[in-house]
Amino acid sequence: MHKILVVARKETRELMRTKSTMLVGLGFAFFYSLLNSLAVIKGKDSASAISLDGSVFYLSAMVGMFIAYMSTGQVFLREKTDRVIETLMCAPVNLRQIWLGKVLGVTAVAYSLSFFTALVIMVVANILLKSIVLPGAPILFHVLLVIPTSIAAFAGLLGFVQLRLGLRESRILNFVIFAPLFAGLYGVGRMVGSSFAISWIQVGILFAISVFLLAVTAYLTKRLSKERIVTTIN
Amino acid sequence: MIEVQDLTRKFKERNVLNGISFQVKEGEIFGYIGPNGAGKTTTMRIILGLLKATAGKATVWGQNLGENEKLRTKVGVLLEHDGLYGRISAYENLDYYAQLYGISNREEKIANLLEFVGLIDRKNDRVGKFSKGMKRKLALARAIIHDPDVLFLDEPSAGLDPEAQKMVRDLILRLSGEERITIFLNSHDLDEVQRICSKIAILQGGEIKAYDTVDNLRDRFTNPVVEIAFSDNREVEKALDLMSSLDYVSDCERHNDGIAVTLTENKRPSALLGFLTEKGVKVEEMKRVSKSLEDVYLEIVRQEERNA
Repeated sequence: MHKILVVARKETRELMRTKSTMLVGLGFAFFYSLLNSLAVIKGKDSASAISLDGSVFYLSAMVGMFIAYMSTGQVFLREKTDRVIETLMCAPVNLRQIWLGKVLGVTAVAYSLSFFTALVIMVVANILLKSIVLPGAPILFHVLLVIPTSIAAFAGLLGFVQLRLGLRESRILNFVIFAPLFAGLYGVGRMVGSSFAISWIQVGILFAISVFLLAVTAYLTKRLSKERIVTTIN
Repeated sequence: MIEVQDLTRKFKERNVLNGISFQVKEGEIFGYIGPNGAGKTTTMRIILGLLKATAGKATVWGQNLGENEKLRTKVGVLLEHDGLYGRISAYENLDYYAQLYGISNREEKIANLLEFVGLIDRKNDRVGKFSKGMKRKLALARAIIHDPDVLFLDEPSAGLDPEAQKMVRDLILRLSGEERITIFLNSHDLDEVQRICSKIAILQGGEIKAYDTVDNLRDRFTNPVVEIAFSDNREVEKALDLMSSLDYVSDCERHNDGIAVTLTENKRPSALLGFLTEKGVKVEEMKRVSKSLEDVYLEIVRQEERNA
């Protein structure tokens, strides 16, 4: 566990110092959370609550996934293209520890920005509404548990793919994943932004999918090999 | 300690290594030389467990490094690429590996190493801003941070200025001499290898063409050369005339008042001196010229070309 945390701390530190990722992430989080806060105050009391739930549900996931997507490129793919991972693989740390440490590092950064987004939406909406509107219990569960799990699952799967595939295949796959994922998230956003009520069912399904995906990817990392990583660098 | 036995590695249908074998004993500085694409880095990667062998085996203390995490705590590595993280500082780079290797007195150890490689004043600077030479020095510090018993170095002096190259050489000699660290050195720099290695292997086309000490290889692969100085030009002419009939003189090259003579294999220079003095030639000085590793290397390459 100690080595996993060492890797995770290093990745978090590096990501926090990657200006491009942090600026884009913060800008994205702040801009969309402000926009959604304004959308929330358009509704009446009960409608506001639904809209607040929907905005937090959708936007925190969107921001988290987006930052996770950008960060895995830095943490997995770049380390492979720069051949830095070769030296790391010669240290007394195994591939699963490396993978898990990196996933934790990405999750810590992406979740921080995701949580920040949820917080901004709630704070700004409450200030502008001049009354206290709090998200429902499923949304709190979603923000506190489902979002970090789904970020970890997404980062883990993407990281695994980037370690396993060649660079060209990784780039193609990234594009193939990126476009539908964000189109899908946009569609969800449109749906929840109007009158869609967030219940325990939706949150539960998302949580179950994330846990399943994380477990499958963790299992698949058994199939990672140094040979595979080294021979797919070029 | 390091044992490579009948090691073969294929990439698709191409044989990169073709049944190579050698051993590196404890405390040795082993130089592994060869042209680009000869298979040096592939050999090192197989020994380190980064690649698998198609056939044969490569072990360190009888075990596969790739499969033995504990054994890797005794091995230091400096690969062709520095393996450094550009967005964090020099200190943080070393600290990362110090933690992975489970070093307890990290702060002191890192400070000493940074002082040693001359980067203590830049310890908080991001490595991305460093020059290639500085990165190489830092990577070398990282490779020895855990006091390894065996050190794998792939082109350690590449990109370094002459002063830094000397530092690396001195460090390697010190590690080998004082700490008894075994060193496996991949290098293009024949001068560097000649200066520091106790044993070398020359790899070409995936095969070991020579494997011995530098002195033995010199004896085996290059003919003895002697430089003879004479009192005047007349003596030079006389000597040239006499030597042209000798079957053990393969080449004569005239300099001002002397001649550089290449003898055939295994012929002792004393025989030539005896011959010349017997014939009344006034020889002022005769000395054996030491051939460089480069000469040995070129001779091996030429032999290969002839055989092909």
